[in-house]
Amino acid sequence: MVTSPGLVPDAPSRPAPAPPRRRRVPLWRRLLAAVLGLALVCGAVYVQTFVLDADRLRAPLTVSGGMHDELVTDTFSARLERVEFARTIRIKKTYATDEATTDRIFMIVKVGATAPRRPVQLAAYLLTADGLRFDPTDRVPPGATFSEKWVQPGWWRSGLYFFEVPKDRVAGARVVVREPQTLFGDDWVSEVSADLGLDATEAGRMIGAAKDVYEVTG
Amino acid sequence: MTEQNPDDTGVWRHPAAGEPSWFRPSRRVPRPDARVWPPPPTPHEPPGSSTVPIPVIDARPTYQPQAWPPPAPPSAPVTPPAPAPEPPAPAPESSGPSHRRRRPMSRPVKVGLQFCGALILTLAYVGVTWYDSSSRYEQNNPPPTVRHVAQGQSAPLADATWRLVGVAVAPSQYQTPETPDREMMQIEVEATGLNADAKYLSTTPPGFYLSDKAGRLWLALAAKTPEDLGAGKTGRFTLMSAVPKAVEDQVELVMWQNEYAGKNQSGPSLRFAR
Repeated sequence: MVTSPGLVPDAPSRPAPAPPRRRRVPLWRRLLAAVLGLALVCGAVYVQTFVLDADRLRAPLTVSGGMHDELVTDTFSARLERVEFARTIRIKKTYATDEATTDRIFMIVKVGATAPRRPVQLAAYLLTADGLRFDPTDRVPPGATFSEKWVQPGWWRSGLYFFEVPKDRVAGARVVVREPQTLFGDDWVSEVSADLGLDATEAGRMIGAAKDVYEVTG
Repeated sequence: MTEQNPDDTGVWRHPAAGEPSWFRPSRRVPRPDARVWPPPPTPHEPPGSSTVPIPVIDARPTYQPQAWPPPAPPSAPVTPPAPAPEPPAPAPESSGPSHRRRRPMSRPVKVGLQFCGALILTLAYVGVTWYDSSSRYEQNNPPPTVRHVAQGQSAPLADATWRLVGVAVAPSQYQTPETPDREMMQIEVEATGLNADAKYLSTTPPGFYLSDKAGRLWLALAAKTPEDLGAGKTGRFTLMSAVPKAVEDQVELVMWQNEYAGKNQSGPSLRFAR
């Protein structure tokens, strides 16, 4: 709606009440109050940097460790038992044999796990030093890996995960083991992050000594 | 497609219809030329020929800003001296915020009220959020309800009635000699279908587990499922499960509606006594 100017009365101009006699505040107290106010404002802004973003709010509870450490979470315990490298993986099936080759390198991680209460299946991924994430390779069928085996209470079970990685990303990598995330599953899962303990020279030595063929039953 | 007939209007006519027909338009004559550019002069409208009443706005009196509050009407100065004793009477009936005199709230009371308001709002926000997320969680995974079934009894769950036949150590060909701390158990369960949907239970068996007294669970996988399970038909499931040797005499069969419910341990379940 458009009102033509002049139809709306101007804002009431009340006669300003007589200003009460203000107590005289010394200058140093005013300065102190200003500095205090600024400090409070800065503190309030700084505290906002502690607010977790969406990714970190959804991030799982991580238990970290190294090789052969038993890492305990509420739903499973896991330990990294062995790391090997290979250029070819031969998968022996019941009636056939498949070979998976790569121009990178296959990292074979042996993981042992047990569960305290109920059977679980565990999925893994590789986290490199520069933050890249590698899922297990699909050249090896999951039936040959640990991801389809059931980990049950009362005893340890171990299995293999196969990762296909560039050779220069191996140094400083970690293996993260967790329950597989489903669309409607639990949001708050815990995971285990184990350091492979490979620096650049050790990684180069192990890749140089990589097996030509690694045999696995699938 | 026949060749074009300039007289054809595209309208189907019954051959019996008379010729010429009122429905058949005559041939069009070309329109006369009309002046488009420059635009033809607008037809002259004599003043007063419009039917829309347009008010004359030229002679509008301009608004004069006045002092606020407006000066009292001229009669007001006359009245105040006379009705001086009667102001309490009109005060209650004439609702005027200016008439309500309130004692200014003391500072601690004001701060306390503000604090209480903030506290109540925070509690209400937290409560609503908690109720929302907890009800959503309960909808997604309903709380587990365990029904204990006595020995030899049967109980219904998921389109069938279930009865435990027996839990026993499996024959020696199923034992694994390389893991001497484990024992393979063989479980026989009998199912009687309640409705026609029971036939799906043979392909997607419910979630079977063996549980010890401490509540630990071991998978019991269906090694043999009945061929045909339907309304009123009875079939037998054979389950295999590996448990530690120490608990082989105390494990009991626990079953959930399906594998998903068994994995999440939510919803109704049966626990069969041995």
